[in-house]
Amino acid sequence: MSRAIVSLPRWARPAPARSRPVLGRRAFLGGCSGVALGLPFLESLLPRSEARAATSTPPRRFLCYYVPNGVWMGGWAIPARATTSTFNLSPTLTSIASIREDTLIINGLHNRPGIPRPVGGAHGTGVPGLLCCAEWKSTGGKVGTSMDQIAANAIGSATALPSMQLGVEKHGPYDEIGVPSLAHGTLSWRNSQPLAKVTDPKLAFDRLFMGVDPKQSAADAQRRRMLKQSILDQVLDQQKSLLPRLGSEDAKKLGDYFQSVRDLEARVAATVPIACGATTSPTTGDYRTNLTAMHDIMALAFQCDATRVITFQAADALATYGMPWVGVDSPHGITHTGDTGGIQRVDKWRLEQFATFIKKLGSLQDVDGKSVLANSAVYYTSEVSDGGRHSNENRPTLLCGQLGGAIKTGRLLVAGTPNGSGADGSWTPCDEGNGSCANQTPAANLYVALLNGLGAPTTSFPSSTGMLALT
Amino acid sequence: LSDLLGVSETGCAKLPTEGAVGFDTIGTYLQTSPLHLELFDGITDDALARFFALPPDAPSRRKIVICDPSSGTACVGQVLRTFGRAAWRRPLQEAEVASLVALTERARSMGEDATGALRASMQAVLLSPHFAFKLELDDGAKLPRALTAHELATRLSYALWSSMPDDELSRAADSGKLTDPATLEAQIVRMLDSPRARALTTDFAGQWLAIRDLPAHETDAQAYPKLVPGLKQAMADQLAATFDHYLRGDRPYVEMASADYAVGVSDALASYLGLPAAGPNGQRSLAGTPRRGLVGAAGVQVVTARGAKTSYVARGVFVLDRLLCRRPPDPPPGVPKLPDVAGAMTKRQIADAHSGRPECAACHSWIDPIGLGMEVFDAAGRARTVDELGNPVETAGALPGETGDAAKRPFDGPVQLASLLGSGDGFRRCVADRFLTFAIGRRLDDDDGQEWTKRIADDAARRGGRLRALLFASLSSSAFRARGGSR
Repeated sequence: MSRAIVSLPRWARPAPARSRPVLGRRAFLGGCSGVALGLPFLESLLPRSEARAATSTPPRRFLCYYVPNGVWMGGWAIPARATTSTFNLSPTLTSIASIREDTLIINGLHNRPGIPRPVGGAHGTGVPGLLCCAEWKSTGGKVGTSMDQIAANAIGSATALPSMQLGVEKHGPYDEIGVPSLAHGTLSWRNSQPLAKVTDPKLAFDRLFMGVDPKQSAADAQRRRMLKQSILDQVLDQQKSLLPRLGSEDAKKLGDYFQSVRDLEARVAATVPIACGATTSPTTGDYRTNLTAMHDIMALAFQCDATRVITFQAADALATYGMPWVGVDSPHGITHTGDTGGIQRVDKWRLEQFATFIKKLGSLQDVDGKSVLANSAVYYTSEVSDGGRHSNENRPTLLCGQLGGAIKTGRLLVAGTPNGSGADGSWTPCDEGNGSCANQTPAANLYVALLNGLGAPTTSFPSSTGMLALT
Repeated sequence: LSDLLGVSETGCAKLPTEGAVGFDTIGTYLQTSPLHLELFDGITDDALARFFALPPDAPSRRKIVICDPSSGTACVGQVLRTFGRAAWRRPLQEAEVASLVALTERARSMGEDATGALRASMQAVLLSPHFAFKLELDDGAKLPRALTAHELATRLSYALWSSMPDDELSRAADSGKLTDPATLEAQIVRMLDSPRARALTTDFAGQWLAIRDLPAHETDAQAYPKLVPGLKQAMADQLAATFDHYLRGDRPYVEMASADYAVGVSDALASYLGLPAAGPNGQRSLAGTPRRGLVGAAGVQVVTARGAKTSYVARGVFVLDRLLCRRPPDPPPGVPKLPDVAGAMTKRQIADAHSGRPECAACHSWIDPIGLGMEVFDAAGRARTVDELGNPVETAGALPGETGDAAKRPFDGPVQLASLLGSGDGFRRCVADRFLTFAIGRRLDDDDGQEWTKRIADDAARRGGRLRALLFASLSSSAFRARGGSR
């Protein structure tokens, strides 16, 4: 595949390195303008990350690209046949025809832990359940650590930001039955602490370049870092006397607070630079403008190696915004109306935006001369399977990118066969005891495979039964 | 932060919120992610930079930097004690002061000058959970327990001013007199009279009546070209002015639900809605229009619409949730696909088809009839005679009975709906529920909550029924003054 000139908008293109004092003269010659020239990405411009420069192994990256409210499975599902490259795309999936060769379509995954038990709040339990594979209700919100955060623990220290949580909109306040609204506000959880996402593209962009101050000398920067560390240490000292005095819910909040102080301290202490200089801020505006801006920021973050782990909510579950450009007033509401044509228009529009983003990642060059996409895994999915039924069997699952060879794309992977007719995308609901999921594979098995591919070796993940082979 | 340092707005709007049902003061919604802390760190950096850029004789700076910090640790301790008292809303313990002074000295040893070192310790004060949280420490005390004077001062001040206590309230807390009913009542009255009580309108009413959501609410511009930019803000301003009118004026607050006049309607909005000129008191008569009270306010109709269409469901939920405090639960899981509504020609037929299933009817038989009775307003807030489907608008509606098992109360159009809301107990008590929830920062549980809102609403009625009386009754109630169970 030829690597086209990068299609990032001007604001998102890495700027010349004038704002990065750590770069030497070569920075001015190659600089981030190398990106626009299609040069290998800044390989020579990484004096302070010897580990990265010394090895020819390019970074491995993970991105979870989430769309809300499930899909209309009647239009999405590809009838299970064989693992073949000659399958036909379903009517909905024709929207990703242009990225078919970079996509592994997976049939037959379920995520039973995302199902609310007792019933009620399928979106609210589905979102934290998606990457944690833990039940919200039976654990009282103690969903543990999501798969992206396990990856970030393993590979995040190599980058300025261990991981990023991004979205495009703040969802409205929608408590579901027994599940507070913050449960479906983020996909990323660490020790049951929700990691809030950034929905403002300007803010997301600024965070990439936080702490980059062209006017500051290295000694000054070091002094400032140490001073901030002392300040944060003093705050952390308060923990010992405070925590024993709190009730359990307050203690959890305060524990999270102090953990966040420690995170900030770690980020202050980290000297890993991001591999590009700051440029001008993105254009923000309506939903579609911001979606595009976030796509560009994620591409920039990967290309500049600012982070290797991102969770992204292309929209939020249950929100009441409209999508008049596809003639849909309420993307969640419509899933319960039986207007399958309208649901499919939403599904296809989201897939088209996703395909554009994937093509962008495919056009960016990585340190090894391959594309950023070739070294990444981008996981496209939703918190429920069929939106109208709140089901969680035979989940909509796409995996784009080759993760440095760990994923073989351009084919259909049949990981299981759901019970039932499949008429209108309807199968036997996956629930405890009825064995309906016996012929399917837990999504957790996919996460085991991804974690291994990302450099976070493991043999298991909550609810896993093994590892899904991706090649 | 602004009040503490005497510097202007400091960027806290950047802090992401995940949205709260009801009010963002409810503790469950408080978020403490690394992102929040990182942003908050930057916000305090900026605020302190601005504070130390003030001239040395600026009042807010002199109030905190009461001596020359380069004169030695005695002064530094004094400054931090003063600043900490204000920021943490209670006196600091000596060990806390010592630890902060030690940080100042460490900063000096790193080469900071006296001001820079002080600034470091001041930032530690601001990044402390004692500043960021309204901590109410039980220390093993049996619950419920009465709040301490300092806790009470903090609750009062955030309930009425959305900010920290001022000097007078702090003094009343320091002396312990605040827990004395007479002092408490005098402080509540003083605080309600203060210009800082404007925060009630922006923060309490702003969330209760969805005023905050209105300006950014998306309405299909092509379908409603007359809804020009600025009109939604005018609608939001009208709702805020309505709340203010009852907060400052003499009319009983239940009239908010049913008033036959409107306040705070700009000329542009009046002309858009076809309302008459304002009288000398700024009020516009609603006689001859379908508008009365809150359900007649254009902002309410707009914020409950979806794009080009009205939503009788969203309108019904608005009334049930925000005006009657009877929020229906969200749809159950495994919601079946709705029956085919082809052939249903009117909105009522569609609603009836949807309510045909028992699992839907449980809530929608309550929700839909309210919203259908408000169909006379379009998605852009204007009155109409024909709906989106080309049918004459529905007007027949029904409001649930005052208690769960009482018969529904039928009405014809929003004027009658407003009259029902204004005459029953539901709205009267719901305002108490909303304010108490906002003020305490947690949702009231069903039994205690109903008992307390009834008592508070009755107390307010005895005191004349003004909104101020309701707020007064809420804040002087033992539900507000105790922690852990509202009894």
